[in-house]
Amino acid sequence: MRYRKTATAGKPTSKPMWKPAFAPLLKYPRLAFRSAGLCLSREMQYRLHFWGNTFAGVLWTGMYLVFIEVILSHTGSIAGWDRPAMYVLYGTYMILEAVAGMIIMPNMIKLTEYVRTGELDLLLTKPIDTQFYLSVRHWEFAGTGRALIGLTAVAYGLKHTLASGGGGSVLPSPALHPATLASPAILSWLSYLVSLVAAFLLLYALWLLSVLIIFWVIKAEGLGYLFVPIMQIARYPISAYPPLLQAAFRTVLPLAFVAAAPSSALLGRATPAGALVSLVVAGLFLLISRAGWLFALRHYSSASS
Amino acid sequence: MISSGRKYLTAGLLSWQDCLAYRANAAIWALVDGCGSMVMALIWLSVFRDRGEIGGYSLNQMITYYLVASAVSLLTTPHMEYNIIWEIRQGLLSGYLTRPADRYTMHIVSETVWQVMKFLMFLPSYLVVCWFLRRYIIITLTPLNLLFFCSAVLLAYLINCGMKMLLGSVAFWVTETRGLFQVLECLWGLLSGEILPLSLLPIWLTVIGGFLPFKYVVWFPTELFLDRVPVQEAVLGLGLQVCWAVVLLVVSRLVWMRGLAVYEGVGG
Repeated sequence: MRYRKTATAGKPTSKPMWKPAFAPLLKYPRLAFRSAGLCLSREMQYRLHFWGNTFAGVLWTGMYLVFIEVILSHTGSIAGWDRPAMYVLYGTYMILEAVAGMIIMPNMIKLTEYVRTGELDLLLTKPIDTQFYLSVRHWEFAGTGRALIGLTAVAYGLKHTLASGGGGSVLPSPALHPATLASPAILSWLSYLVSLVAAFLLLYALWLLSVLIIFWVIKAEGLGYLFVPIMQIARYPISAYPPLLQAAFRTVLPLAFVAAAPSSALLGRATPAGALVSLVVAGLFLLISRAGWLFALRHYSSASS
Repeated sequence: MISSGRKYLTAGLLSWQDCLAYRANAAIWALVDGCGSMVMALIWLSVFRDRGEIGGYSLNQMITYYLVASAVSLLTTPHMEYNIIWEIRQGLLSGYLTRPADRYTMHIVSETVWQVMKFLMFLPSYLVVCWFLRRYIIITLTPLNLLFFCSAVLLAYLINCGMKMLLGSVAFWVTETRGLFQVLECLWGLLSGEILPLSLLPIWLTVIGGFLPFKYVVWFPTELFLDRVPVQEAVLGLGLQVCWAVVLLVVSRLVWMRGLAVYEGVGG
């Protein structure tokens, strides 16, 4: 390696460069982006797998759309949600499922593997918060096609909701009057986005809580997938379930705040305060999952030799 | 022949021991596989309010359909294709090939044992759901229907084994095949009747499904249980199941042998 002598070489630097107080925290987003980049390049090595997964994601989306369409063709609505509203709900769910499949699921699956094989030992020694590191280390981009379909479904549903003057008689909320739909559009979208972020954080917290059992039940490779069917409950309106389950989905397992809450915000079925409630619920479950993580970590006994 | 049978019986018993060690894992996979149909049954419960019949199904028939379909699907759907690609990719197959047991058969034996364990672990939660939905469940089984149903479930398992072995064997030629598995799982879900009774699907999908084996693995046994298939059609359906099972097992065996010929072990 050649060394090029410069005028400043050898001289002491005049002043240490000023760094903002939050500078050390920047390593967190930087790590997340670097991990994402590395995972993307690795995924691109297996093109058939990538495109196969992308195509499969689109097919799965279409398949459940067929299920919903078949029901709607016979009934017109599902638990008070008519076709446009169902498209908004389903589209929102697809966006969340795609994002969760991109970052939450691969990391949760890997977490079970790390605990099972004892690889967690090494990760605990890294100079960064282990929970954060384990949550952003693996990315899978093959499912992003579903997010695009989800966005299309939301746009389609919203367009037809507006065209029908706010969803017709099956949507009982007075907030759905065309005037209210048109005027606070920005507020509705803002509430939607806030609820969407809250739903993502909530999904992360719930998924992590479901996976933490691995610290006690070591021989459970499938644990990372356990939340997949649970999350699918949120694909349909919560009001479609029996009353006892509805109560559970609004409290102990708050799936009502996953797809239904953002959709309600966008359709004008909920007030903007609903978005704040979603944030509070997500924050609460994030705290619980953090406490659960720290508790589980205290019970971790390495599996390696 | 007898010693060969004893060999695989011993292998099966060893697999059973292995399954016992991983029973929590079996319970989790059973929940992952079985939950979807339960959720759909609950959705139909809401949809049927004030409606007597949808697509030729009463509410009771629909709920029973999903409950039976979820059990049939769980019992008859092995997932040996993931083990096969893992063995091929990691080079572990080389070790197995030196053993005095056919690896193709061993995959089917160990997966069968795993399926039984998974089903047993699924039973408690399944029975709880059935108990909650008990007033919607209809059982009109005659001895003949029961015989047809059990035969159809067994043949469905053989069809699935053929399909999954065939699918797993693709890994001899393509390194990463999980994307392909996902595509086929999706088609399987839609055309097997697990997501919806086939008579509710758009006609063009039903026509396409008629040329494929998927409908014989979930829809056909479940319809037999519901006593919705006339005897003549049931016999014809069982005959077609036998044909599909034989074709898929023979083709998968041939592809497996061909794959072994091109296999290059990686690693030690």
